[in-house]
Amino acid sequence: MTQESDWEPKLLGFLCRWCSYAGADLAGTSRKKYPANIRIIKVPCSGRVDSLFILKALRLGFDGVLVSGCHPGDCHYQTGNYRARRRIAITKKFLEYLGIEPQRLQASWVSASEGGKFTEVVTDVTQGLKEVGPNRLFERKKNGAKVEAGSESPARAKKG
Amino acid sequence: MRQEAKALLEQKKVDWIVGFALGSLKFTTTPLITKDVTDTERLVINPFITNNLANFLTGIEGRVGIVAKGCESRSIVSLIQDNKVTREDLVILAVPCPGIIDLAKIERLVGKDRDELEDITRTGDKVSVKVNGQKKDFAASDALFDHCLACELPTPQEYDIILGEERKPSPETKISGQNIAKLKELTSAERWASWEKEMSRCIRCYTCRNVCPACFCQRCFVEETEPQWTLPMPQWQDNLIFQIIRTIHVAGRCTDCGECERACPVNIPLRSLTREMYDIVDELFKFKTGMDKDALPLMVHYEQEEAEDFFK
Repeated sequence: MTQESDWEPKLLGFLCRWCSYAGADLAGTSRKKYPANIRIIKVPCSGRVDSLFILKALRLGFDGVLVSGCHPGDCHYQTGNYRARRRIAITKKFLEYLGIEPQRLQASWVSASEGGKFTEVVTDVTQGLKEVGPNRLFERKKNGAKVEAGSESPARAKKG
Repeated sequence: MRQEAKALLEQKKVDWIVGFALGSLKFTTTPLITKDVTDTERLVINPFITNNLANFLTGIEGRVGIVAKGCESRSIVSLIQDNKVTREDLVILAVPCPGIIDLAKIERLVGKDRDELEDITRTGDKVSVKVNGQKKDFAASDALFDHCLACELPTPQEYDIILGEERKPSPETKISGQNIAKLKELTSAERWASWEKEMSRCIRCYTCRNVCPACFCQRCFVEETEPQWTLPMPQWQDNLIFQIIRTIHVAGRCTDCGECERACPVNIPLRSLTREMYDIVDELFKFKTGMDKDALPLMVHYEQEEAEDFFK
């Protein structure tokens, strides 16, 4: 495990294929700088993102999750982002009630032309994660010593 | 009720009757699913009919006559919304429900095991327990299930035959929501720690899922192996993820019938999860499960403008 001082948050981004992913692309091609903390997974639509994905990411040790899709009314599949909105709203509220910091689940609308907004959102979310600190939610306490969250899963074991 | 059920079977209006019969343990009842006319003699309605019978509807083929309390009727309506059952195939025998007696609460009040109790009767706001020939009175609010105290629909809205007088709802959330209120006073780290503690008891028997009428997936995500969302062995992290996702998946279908908490063999306060979700759904989307059979399910419907403050 890295030292606390040079800890950088790890953010998992679920970006919709039609808007936000293209927005992130635009941010790249227009050479805008945004934090390298984000790892991006392309999804067909923000409506594809089940709450399971979010929980699984937190379980594997990601410090935060960002779900991003088309602006309301712009969904390629007409209604996908409206459904994502309902799902994320209840998930976010519910996780807060359980005791997960609200900064760990963020959502945004970023269109294909909003490269600038994408950098802003990622900077903002990363900043928020730096404030709440590392994800220790699913840490296992073994003989009093703390074991890194999700370290028993194959995905993390490879990193060694 | 027995005559009604018998008539339905004899006139071939239904293929099945789903109701309650006396259980093998003292005071308890058990679900009765039958095609046999003579079996209708075993049907009962008493203050101990806990199960949510709507759970069985998705597994039965043919027309069904079902005994339904308020919470069951809401679950049934929710199943109709989800196209899991059709209204035409159902004959709903409505039971205006005064609340179900929680035997665990009675045991705690009296300090004796249920086998040692002679009789439990309910009259109005009083529950009387006869033990060693002596009668003890308790307030109904101390002896009923928490979810019954918060009941918003004692008499089914959707029914064909009503058995008895309609009852007006008088939901009370102070006692029934005290665990949630207590949790909300804690800091978020303390809340998480308390769930860690509760969930480390979970043995992953999936009873909560199996008794839930809203949990009708053919294949549950916990049994998926590719990808494996949660590990199947009981450790608190995965137990908690299972419960979180289950609660989110039944959002808008959960009627706060409290079956999950009652059925839990290790007494995890599951209703503190499901009830909170019920309230979140109500607060954000003004959605009450199972009140209108023509309404769209929560996660299918949307408004142009809602919940925008969650988005950057």
